[in-house]
Amino acid sequence: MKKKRVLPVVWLIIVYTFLYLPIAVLAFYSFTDASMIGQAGHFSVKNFRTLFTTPELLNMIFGTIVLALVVGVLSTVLGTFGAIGAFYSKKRNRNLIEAMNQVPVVNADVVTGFSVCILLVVVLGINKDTYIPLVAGQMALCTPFVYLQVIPALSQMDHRIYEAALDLYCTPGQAVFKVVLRQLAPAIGSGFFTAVTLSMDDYFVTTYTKPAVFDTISTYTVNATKGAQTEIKTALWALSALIFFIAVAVVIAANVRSRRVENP
Amino acid sequence: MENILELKHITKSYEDGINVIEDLNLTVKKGELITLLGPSGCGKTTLLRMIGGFDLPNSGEILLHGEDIGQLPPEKRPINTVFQKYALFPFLNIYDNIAFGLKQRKVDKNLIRQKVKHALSVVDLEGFEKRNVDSLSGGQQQRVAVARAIVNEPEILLLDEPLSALDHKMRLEMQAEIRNMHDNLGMTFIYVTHDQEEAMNLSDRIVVMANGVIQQEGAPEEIYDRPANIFVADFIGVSNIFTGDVTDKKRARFAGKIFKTDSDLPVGTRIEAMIRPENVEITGAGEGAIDAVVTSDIYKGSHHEITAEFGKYEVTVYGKSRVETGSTIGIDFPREYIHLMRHDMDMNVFDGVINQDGSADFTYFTLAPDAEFMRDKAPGSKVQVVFESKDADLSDDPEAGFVTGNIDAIMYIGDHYTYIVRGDNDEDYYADDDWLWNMGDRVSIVVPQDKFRYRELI
Repeated sequence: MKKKRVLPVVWLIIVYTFLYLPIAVLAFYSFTDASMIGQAGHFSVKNFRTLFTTPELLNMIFGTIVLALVVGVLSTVLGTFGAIGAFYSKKRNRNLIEAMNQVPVVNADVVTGFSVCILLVVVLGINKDTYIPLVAGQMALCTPFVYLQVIPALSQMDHRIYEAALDLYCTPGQAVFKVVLRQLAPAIGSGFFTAVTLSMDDYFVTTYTKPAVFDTISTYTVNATKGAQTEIKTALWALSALIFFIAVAVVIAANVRSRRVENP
Repeated sequence: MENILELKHITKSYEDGINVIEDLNLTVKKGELITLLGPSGCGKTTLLRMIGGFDLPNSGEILLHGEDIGQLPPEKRPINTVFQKYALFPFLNIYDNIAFGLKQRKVDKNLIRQKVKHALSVVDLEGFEKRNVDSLSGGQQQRVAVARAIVNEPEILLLDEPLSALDHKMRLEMQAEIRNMHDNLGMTFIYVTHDQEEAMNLSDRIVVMANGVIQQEGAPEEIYDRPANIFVADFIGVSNIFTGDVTDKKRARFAGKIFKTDSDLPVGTRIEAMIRPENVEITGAGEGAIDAVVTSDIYKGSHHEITAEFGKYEVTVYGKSRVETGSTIGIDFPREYIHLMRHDMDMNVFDGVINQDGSADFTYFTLAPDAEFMRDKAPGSKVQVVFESKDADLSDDPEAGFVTGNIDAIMYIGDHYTYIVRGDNDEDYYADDDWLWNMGDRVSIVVPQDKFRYRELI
């Protein structure tokens, strides 16, 4: 007879309850017509209908996604070439760059956001409506993480593949794009996803640097949950549930894929 | 045979100003398999990289069919490379790896398919087209790397220590295969290795390099039987080397005796005599030229490796039968196997070890290399120090130099004297000095700190 080990299971249940109960409650209530959590209600998709029909909400979601993609692409380009440049620099320069790269990672977002705002808006006088402070601010947040993803891939790479490409009739440019970047692609890809996620999650940098008329999911949600506009508020439950389901789907898909790559 | 590649007065130095290669000349014949052989750091890989176009020479010409390609980038040269550790593209399958160069040159698709198929059959990997790089063994990856290079039908194939990552047995197999491929393709191969056995097995011609200078080039037999200098003799195979001088016409004194030789070196020449262990004759005690006491006998399968001592000398002999350790045997050096080399007195070379105090112990003296060199060197690492005779001076103050000894020989060379100083442990130093000293004078050798050149031995 197999002895069941009870304690670890109980512990796991406690851990996962803490992690998932809040979002489960939110997801549950997003499928009801209740106007407050804890209130009795009937099954309804009204929240989702509101979410997908209110122009203000749609604009906000769309804006968040576009911003995340733009910031993701720019940070990925900057972070990748930064990593390549630093990697092939002299050891002292590389260590210096590495150390400076750590600062935005460790630093509180509120400090990053505030200082970007001070530098770009107050000192340099760039108008927030140009979106430049917003994009630049979020890039300052995301780029170091891209850098951190690309550097390990560079140290694992066989550097002779660059010369092998030259040997096989590539120009130096072609060798970088067709071989080096291709080899780094998985790391660059995960750097890009990290950047997109960070951009979507960000609250502080965005509040300090965004144009007055623009909102991301984070800034919008914080403001909307303060007021009393219940229609919008309950629609945000639906949005939260939706984001959660998408996240779970992505994680499962990524796991299945990596398992398939490991055991073909 | 026609010359395919000519290197003329090639000099290459890196940022720190140290010359890796100095005024090197080499001619490669069409269709030959030539090996650049030497210890790590001798410049052989740098030379190969310059032929491939990955490094550019500071001066000199690289002529391919008489045309200078020395400054062309690699992609413009009709030369392909098999890299150390293969450098295959992990994100492409075998077919696409091999087809890479052809696609890059926009060769017709059907033709590519044919050529890749043929290249795979040359390296004996038919049917591997769809496989991933990671699913192949080291030896198979090596073959793919060869196929990827030869599919482009280069004029010259460069191979940079291509077998160094394989185990011994696999290496022997691949050596035979590379030799076969070379003979079937009729392509010119330039092969780089530090493994003298590999060079012997493979090559039509071997170029032995040390410190960026070609020491000797020739057929494997020539290099083995008649090494040009002590470095080549020591690097290739096992050898017994004794220092001495030519005492008479076709006679030389070394190992404490005078031997007949076939050499025509002038009387008085300082020499090194080399004799291979398999050519030393064992006779009964008292019947040979020398009596020696056996210190060890190791059975090697095909022969017994016998080490014997006489006086302060030691000799290695390959014998057919076992001899008792501690017993006395007679030893003879047959005239035709004694190879005399003119002694090179331009350089002093000593091997040593980094000690706990952050300086370097050479058997007879200790030196403190500069901090730049000592950084990241752990105690126990092997180092070599070199100083040129022209940078060494003599002093009668025993404290002035780093080592002391007595003057053993004096040679007047045009405007200065070259001295051989015999150290207290019988080791020799060479020093140039403007002043005339006397034989037997007690001197110390003075070398400015910045004239010692250190190198890590791997």
